Amino acid sequence: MRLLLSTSFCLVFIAFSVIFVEPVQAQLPTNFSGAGAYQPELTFRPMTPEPGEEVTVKIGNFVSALQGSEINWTVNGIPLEDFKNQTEIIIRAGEVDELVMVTARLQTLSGDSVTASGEVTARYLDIIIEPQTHVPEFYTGRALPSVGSQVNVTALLNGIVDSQYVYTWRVNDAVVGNIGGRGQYTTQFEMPLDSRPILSLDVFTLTGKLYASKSVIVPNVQPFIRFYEVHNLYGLSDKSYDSLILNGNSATLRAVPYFLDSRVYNNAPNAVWSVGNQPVGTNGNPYELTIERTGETGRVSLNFNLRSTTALLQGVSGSLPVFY
Amino acid sequence: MGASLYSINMKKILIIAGLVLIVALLAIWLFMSGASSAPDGVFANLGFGNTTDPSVPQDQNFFEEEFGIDNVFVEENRLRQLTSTPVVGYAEVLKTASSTPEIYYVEAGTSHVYRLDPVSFEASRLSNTTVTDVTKAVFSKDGGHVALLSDKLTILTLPDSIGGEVTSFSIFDAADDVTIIDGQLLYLIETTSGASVKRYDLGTKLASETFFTIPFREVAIAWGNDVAGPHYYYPKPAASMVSPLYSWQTGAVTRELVSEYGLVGTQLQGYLLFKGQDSILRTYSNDVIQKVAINTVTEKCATEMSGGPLVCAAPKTESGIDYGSWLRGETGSDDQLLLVDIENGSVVSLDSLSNNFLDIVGIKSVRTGLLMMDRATGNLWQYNVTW
Repeated sequence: MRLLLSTSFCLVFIAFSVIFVEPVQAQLPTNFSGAGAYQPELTFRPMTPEPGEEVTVKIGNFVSALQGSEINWTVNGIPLEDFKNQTEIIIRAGEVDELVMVTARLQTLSGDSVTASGEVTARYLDIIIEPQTHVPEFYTGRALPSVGSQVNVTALLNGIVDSQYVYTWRVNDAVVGNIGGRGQYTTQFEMPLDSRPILSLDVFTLTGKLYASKSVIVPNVQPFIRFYEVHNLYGLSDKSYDSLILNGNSATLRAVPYFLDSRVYNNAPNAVWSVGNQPVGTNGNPYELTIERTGETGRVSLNFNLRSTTALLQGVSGSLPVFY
Repeated sequence: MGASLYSINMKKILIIAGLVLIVALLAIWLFMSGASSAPDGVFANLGFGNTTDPSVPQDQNFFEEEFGIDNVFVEENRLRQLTSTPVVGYAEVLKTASSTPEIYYVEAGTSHVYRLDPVSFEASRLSNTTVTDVTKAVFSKDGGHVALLSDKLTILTLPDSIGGEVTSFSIFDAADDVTIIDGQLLYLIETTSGASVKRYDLGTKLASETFFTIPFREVAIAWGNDVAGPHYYYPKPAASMVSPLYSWQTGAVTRELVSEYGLVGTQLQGYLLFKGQDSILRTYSNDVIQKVAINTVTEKCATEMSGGPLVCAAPKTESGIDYGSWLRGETGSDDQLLLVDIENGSVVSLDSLSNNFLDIVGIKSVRTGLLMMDRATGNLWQYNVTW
């Protein structure tokens, strides 16, 4: 009997809690004049837009007591009649360093009023990626990263470098250098194995406020090789060969690796030329080979192979048919 | 026996009939092929002497109506090969405002400077100072100086006449790019922390000074027409990486609106002509971006002298140019010449260059028409059109 009574008491208490306690909590923030546990706030996405970029502004922390509220938006004090009663609006960021102030005024069904405000400032944050891989001098494009190669990156805020901020660089969520650095607008990392690693950067003010952020995908390519002729008079030709018809008595060819780690290129480890299957030596420059006509007409295959002894994926090989 | 004789006669008749048929078919084929090939035979370029384009000149009124250009006059035999050796730089120079325009060029390999006779196009050597490994040469407007870009910068002061004295001066900076504007030599060099544009006054010959700095090293620069700028710059193009565009003008750096994968651009008369990975040419000026309906690369375009329509070389086929492959020298382009009105977007053919295979770069619109280089051979060409 005692057990039955205590069980009943518990059930009644639980029911009472469920029915009455929750509404009491919900009624707490009836006075919206100050910031409280249920003060709505504005969220901006992206938080640090570029000039002219679209920004989604949303009322966050939108509790049930605010349901049905009349919502009036203003941007820089100008009412947005078309967005009345919407909990989410899209605005456009201003010019460089222009601050845009957004305010949402809510009038609840019970007649209370509450205001949520926020601001967003447009600025450019550019990440300049400069892979340290080899391209020939005449190539006017940018070198691309390959696995294991060093990549230099520089952050520009509105077109200039600025050392008055704290920079936190991440490659695939791992912080570069293990810590954000004041004035560290440039850094470097080694290209990981991923085909599309993500490089991200958060820039903070000295007070710890997020100032700008950006994420970019870094391309990851395989090095390859092209063959060019080296003229005595004109130097390295900028026309690559798929095959070579040897018109004169001799020709000098250069194997030019694209996007090979510059350190590997400079050391040229195990660089081997072969004619047919026979390895041949070079005089001086390991990337150049001079071939000479020796007699009858024919066809031969020139091969070039280079492979790093420390970074297995850093290597190139290629062959060039030569008709003479 | 009779049957076999009959059989032999029949065979003879069939053989004769077959032969007659073959001869008849051969005659018809010769007639047909001869008729269709006759005009080509008349105009075929056999490679002797000047290469000329026999196509019918454009009607002058057509250009006036389409582009509102006065006095566009396209002469017959308007395409002329000016050199049979590669060049690394060329310009039309005007010694004084009233002088006859002359064409100067720098021969690849030796860097000897030549002047072309305006009438006979005979080349005369102005400078025999040899500088090797030069990749680019730029002239001052009056032809008094030429800057040669190799592992250093060599500046030659050129004489007014053949046989005059040539003086040479070197700046031991390994420059990546160079231009001459109003007697000022501007050049781009890499530094430990990025890049710098330095300035050297060809008149005072004082030491070079840093003009402005750029906080990254892999820079491509689109020089302006004024020393004070704007000069546009951006990270070198890569199809898979974004290049934002910046400008420098009278000491102020601006991050421009443009940001493109594979950005490459050149500054023309008052605007930047650029393209991104989508291969669509666009113009950019005063925060306004405008599409240009033509599929080519910016290296193949120039404006006519008064800043009117755009002249571009573009592939004869619509397949366009694979830019990365083109930069690596794996592919070429068989070009035609187009005239583009950037205001209304209309594009017309200036010349189909149907009998030539030219991969045209470095078009300069000058008083004597268009100067341009064939990328495949490095030879200098002229297209005779008067604006």
